[in-house]
Amino acid sequence: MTLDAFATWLPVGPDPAEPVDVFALLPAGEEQLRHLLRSVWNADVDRATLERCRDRIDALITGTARPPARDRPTTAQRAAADFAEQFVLDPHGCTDEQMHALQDHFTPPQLATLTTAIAVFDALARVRAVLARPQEGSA
Amino acid sequence: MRIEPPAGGQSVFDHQPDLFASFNTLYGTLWTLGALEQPVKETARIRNARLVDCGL
Repeated sequence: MTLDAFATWLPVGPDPAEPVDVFALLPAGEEQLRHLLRSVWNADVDRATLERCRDRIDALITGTARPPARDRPTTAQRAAADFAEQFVLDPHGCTDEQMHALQDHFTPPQLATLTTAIAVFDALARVRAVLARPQEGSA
Repeated sequence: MRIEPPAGGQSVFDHQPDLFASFNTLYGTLWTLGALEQPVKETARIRNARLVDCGL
């Protein structure tokens, strides 16, 4: 998930179909949020892995899926995306086996990054899901 | 503990002090500034913590 503008039901502009930079509406915290997101992407977990986690989270929370990546996921990417899914659905459901599998592929500092990244992606996806303007014809 | 903290640290996030600091700066900003009154934020925090069974 990104901080891209999106159409919102919030009454902030003349045309509700026009995308709005919703996070710029924050009276405080926007700069810190952007800094955190940049820090996540620039840390020690490769971009492809983070993108797979982000896409899995987006699909779960928003019900929309991006086009699948051209390459098949590596074992490490699959483990990371499965962790992201469990985080979204039930964080207490993460098993010892799942956590051990992650440690086969990622160092403890990378796992700190990965967990923070997943938490940020999850939060942003939920904000967007709540504030986005409903699509025409949707329930 | 599933993932050990670094020597002298208290949690896995101490493996990434700069990233953890970025998160804490945002968290602190949202708590101390903004348009919502403190009791509203605290109510939301408690409701959220209950939903995910967080003991904090």
